[in-house]
Amino acid sequence: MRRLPVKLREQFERFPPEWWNGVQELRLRAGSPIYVKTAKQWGFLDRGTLVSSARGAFLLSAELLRETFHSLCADSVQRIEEELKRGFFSMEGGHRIGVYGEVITRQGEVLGFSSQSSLVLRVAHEVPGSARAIVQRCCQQTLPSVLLYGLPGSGKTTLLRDFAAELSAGCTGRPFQVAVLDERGELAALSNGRAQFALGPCTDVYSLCPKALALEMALRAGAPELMVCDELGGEEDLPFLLSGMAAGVAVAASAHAASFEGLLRRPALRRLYDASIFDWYILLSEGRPVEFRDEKGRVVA
Amino acid sequence: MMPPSIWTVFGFLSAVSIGLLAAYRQQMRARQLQAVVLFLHRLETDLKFGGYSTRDLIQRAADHPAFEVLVFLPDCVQKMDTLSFRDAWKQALGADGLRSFRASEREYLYAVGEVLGQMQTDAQCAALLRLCQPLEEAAQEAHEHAGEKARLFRTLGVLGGLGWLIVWW
Repeated sequence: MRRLPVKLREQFERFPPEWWNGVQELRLRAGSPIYVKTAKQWGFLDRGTLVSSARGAFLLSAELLRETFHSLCADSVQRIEEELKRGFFSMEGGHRIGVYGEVITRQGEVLGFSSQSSLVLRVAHEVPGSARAIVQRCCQQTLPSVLLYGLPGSGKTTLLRDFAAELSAGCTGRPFQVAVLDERGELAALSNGRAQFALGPCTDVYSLCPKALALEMALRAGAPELMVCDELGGEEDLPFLLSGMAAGVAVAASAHAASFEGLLRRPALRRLYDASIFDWYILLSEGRPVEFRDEKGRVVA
Repeated sequence: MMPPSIWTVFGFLSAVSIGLLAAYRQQMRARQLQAVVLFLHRLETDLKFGGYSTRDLIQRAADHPAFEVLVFLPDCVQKMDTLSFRDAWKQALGADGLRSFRASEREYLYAVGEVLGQMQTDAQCAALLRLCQPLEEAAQEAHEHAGEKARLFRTLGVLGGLGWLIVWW
């Protein structure tokens, strides 16, 4: 909230401070009303309330959107340009800002944005104990590899974070050494060497580093028992996960998919399935596990 | 011979002071321009290889003894607590007044606020280089002429004061 420009902050002043705890998403579009999604409701911002109709709601000017972008990145585009090439950047607190706008490309590669037309602010939350059901079901005798999947906003990152925290804290009987490979800076939200989210006492973090490089360093630096990483799905993920498995490290990861069938339609994830990387596939919805599948993809619960 | 009146002495001292002040400004202008050029080059290097945030870039420069003549730097850092970098930079330069700079040089300095942290690193470096070039020429010129101009102003001040004494005493 304090990183939003004053003019925009004024629009939220009527909401009590605790209202922010429930905010999941803000969508800011130049020349359009501000869409807000909380745990309980959604709507367009209009004079300190949320209304269901966009008509008459507060319109965000292009200038204020630009100001918001620069304010969120602390006037330091140079710090986020590598992330921006992938269409988003993370800010302190682990919140993620998706960016739309005029893209600068060269030879098919994204170099950055010449202007922004929309910003999607996804607010990171910490829900202690949210992964307990997963830990209780999947981590009985051994440390398994799990893939959490679901639609955007289903709580993948939140549960993954808590999964790491629970195992690191030894809730299964003994603490496991966990390495968080936080490529996007969302899982740990490392700031000045300290994670801003609780990840347990036996967790080490590599932040803003490609997963494969981070794993290589983690294996050399500290022999982790579990590596945790967000958002699998790229072609580059298979060799990296295989090398982790070869080193005897379990994997907890997340991926975008609406269903198990949808998951397998993604070529990279299909190959992970064929390679039997994961022991469990867990579908999430509204921050809870709703379906457990074993390594063969059979529904277990 | 009558002793000089207080106004005559005051006029003499004023003329000498104006000459000394003008000489000091010439030297200060040369020092500030050189510091600005050095600052812009350092920004470029830090941007390329440092990975610093804009606040850290300014803070580092503000803490460096080579830039102590650029009094707007610490002021800008302080203003960034509550303002965006663009506004903080503009206000810090405005508060400083930049009296030893020419209007065009002031504009180049103001333009740094529109560049730093506002675009990709390469674009920032290119823009800073573009802003730096005319300032570099001005710094070179100021450095070459600072000594002789300072001497000239000092001499003019003393001569003007003596002239005043001769006329009114």
